[in-house]
Amino acid sequence: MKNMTYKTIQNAITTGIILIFFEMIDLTSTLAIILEKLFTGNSKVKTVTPNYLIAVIGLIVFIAAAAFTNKNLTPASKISLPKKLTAGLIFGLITGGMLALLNIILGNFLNNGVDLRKYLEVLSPDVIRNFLFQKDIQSAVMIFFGTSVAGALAGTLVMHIFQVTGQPAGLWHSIKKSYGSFQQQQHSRRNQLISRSALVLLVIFILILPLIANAYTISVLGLVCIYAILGLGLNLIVGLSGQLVFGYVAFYAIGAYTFALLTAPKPLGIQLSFLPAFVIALVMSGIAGGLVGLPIMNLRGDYLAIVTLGFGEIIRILINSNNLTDFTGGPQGVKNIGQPGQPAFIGNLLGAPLKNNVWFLYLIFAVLFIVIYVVFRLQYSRTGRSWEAMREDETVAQACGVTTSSYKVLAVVIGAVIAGAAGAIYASRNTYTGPGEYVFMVSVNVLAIVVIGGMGSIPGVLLGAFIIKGIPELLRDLESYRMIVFGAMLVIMMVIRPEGLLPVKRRRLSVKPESVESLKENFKS
Amino acid sequence: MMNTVKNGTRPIQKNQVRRINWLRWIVGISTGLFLLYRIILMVIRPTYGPVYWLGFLNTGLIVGGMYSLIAIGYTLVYGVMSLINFAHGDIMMLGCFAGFFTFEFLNYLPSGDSSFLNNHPILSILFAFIMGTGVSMLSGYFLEKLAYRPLRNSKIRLAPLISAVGASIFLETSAQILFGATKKTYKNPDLLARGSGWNIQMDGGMIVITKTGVFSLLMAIILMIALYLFVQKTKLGKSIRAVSQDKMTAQLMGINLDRVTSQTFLISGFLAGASGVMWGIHNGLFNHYVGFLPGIKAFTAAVLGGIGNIPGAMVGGMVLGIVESVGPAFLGIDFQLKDVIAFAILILVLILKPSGLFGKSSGSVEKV
Repeated sequence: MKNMTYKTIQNAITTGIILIFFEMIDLTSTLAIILEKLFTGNSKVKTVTPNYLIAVIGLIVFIAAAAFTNKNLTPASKISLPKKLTAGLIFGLITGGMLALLNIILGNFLNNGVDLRKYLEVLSPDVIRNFLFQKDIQSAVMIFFGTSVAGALAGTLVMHIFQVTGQPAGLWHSIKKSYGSFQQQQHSRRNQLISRSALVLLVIFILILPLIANAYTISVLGLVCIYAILGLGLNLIVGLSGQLVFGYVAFYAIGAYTFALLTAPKPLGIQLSFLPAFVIALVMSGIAGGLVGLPIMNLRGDYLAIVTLGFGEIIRILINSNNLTDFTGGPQGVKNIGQPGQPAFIGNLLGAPLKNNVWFLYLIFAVLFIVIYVVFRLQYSRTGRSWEAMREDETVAQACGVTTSSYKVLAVVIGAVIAGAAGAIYASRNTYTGPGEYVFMVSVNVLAIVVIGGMGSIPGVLLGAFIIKGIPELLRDLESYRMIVFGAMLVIMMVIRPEGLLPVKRRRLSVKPESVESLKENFKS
Repeated sequence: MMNTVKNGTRPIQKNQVRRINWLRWIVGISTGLFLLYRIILMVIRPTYGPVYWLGFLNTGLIVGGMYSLIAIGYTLVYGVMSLINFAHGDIMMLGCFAGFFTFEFLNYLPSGDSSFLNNHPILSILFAFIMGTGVSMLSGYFLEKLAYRPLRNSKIRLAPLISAVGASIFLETSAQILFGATKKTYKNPDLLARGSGWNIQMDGGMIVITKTGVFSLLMAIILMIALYLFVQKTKLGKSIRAVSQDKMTAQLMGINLDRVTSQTFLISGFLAGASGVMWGIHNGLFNHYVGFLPGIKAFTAAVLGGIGNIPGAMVGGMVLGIVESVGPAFLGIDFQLKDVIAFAILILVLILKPSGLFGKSSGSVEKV
């Protein structure tokens, strides 16, 4: 009983801190606006309606209380409903109290005419007035208490019903079971046929998409594909060979700048055509990868991480430097980068030439498919197996005859070449490139793509690229919280599901040894 | 059994070291020749007088002290967990913010005819340090608990490092949204006003020794000595050293690994917070990005001194600070490019002597 009280208080305080954090970064209002947009279907909502803010806070407390009940107040038979409701009441009172305290303080600042924006950027007087539901402090405090108590009680109650009836959990279990049996049947010819034809349909759909989509979708799709290419390259280094590269943006930047300087009229004025410039860009980034890879080929992966991070910063500082303006364009960047011309036969075939952005999207698709093919072949080749052996255990790999040092450098070089390809395509697509585009955050984005999709998994990377680059474009309201979410996601993914959303089979085995048994069963049947 | 294992692994290692020797030689000789050329050039055609060099040394020492404090945090954590605590620079950033808010609060607090800040400057500075180190310690403690501890036995070797990057991004962007991206200025008490100090007249110019600089350097040295004594003399220090030598055996000797890890994070957070407050007091301008570069440079310093080695981190930080401030003038490059020097040193150290200045050369390749 004492333990239960302690757990309740602990969880309630954690929830309170999270809610306060959300309020301080003004996430609650943003969520309220999104909720209102969803409910009313009015996409032009700009200001917060108090009722929706109440709903958001209640919902968060509800989820937290339900999760707490599910995790700590089990089994259902032992802890009776009144006990649970008491716990819920305490939970709600503590969370509500913390929120109320915060808002009493903020409200007093507001009433005394102190503008907090000098120190806490988002807390403008309007925002605080929203927090207080456009009312005075007393009624706002009452609402906070009421909302969180109601949310917590509802959470415990709903969870109690779930526990007693065992329903959604049972349903989930049966779905999982049937999915498992579906997976077992996957070897049968009919299922293989179905999945193959689904894949073909998907590819055809993606190929037709640029023709029917609008300009915005095409630009987002292009960005997602470029990040997918980057992700595939980093996946090779991180997922397959088990080295960690933080400064992946460096190779991206080298590819982009090599291409840009070779094709732009200023500052060098070489103005090569697309294909030779593209090839030279690949070679240059490959050489850079080799130069970075060589010094650390005998060291553990952590060092590669920091060295490449340093390398990325060096590249950024160099292209940003005023001294090198005559060579790199300096802080202004490079303009008028060359684009590949459209071959005439496409125009003849379709009657009219494709629009420029559509044509370019097809080009990106082509590069993406080539990269997928290369990575796929590499993964299941001798080289790929050596990488995976190295990733799992370097000493054992060495003992089995893998020259780890040269394979490490090889992984970095190939990864760098792929990044260079992405960079060249990106620069050509935008016809402009500048130092501001090659910041550390790009590396973090790509790392998040690899981690979320599943390290070493090609479909995982494609999914990850869509999640990291595509979904934020759909949820424009949450734009400013993107990096916070990515950071938290990296930590949470590592703790909860380190193998990623779409893991490869071998990886899944290495994380969960118990699934070996089920695989054996598969082979028998 | 032990012997056969050792004999079995050693030839492979030797072989490996021999294979990259050519790289080491080429890089070492070319770096040495280049440095020699610059020295000769400096002697023949001096571009800066001795006063300037002393001035560079002065700034280098001050920055170096802060690098040392942060580097010790890296080294301690690396010793205990074999993890590069990537979020360490951001813990320092939080300390910097906490000190800033303390000063601002004390500035508003009336006391006598002026503010508390100027009436009780020493007490105010003490409060700022307590708040800064406290916030950093707490964030370090919870960081370990939430982001690193669940991953200690992770099957994926890179998991803790990826988690560390995630935590770093999370802290940095949270601070950006919470406090805004514009640069803020530390409100120092008048006793430690920025820019005030002693001018020492010498032939050919004068050196400005700022009060904040002297304060930071003294503070850094005091903290370093205190930390060294702490690690050498106390029981906790002993258990930290034991864990960093051999986790298994330390646990067998009755050391609670969880507790020692937590306490290590508290200590490294303390040092990071102190250096954050010092950074604010000395440099004045700061924002959420303040921890990023010092963090990476301090890591460089830790590698330079031999990671896992506490005196090494101290010396490495000082050396890095001095080299970084002397370097641009010595190499004749633009001062904009001074950040490049630190990273170049990192790469050079990893090629020439991966075990660092003070690390033991045998076996370190394996550990590193």
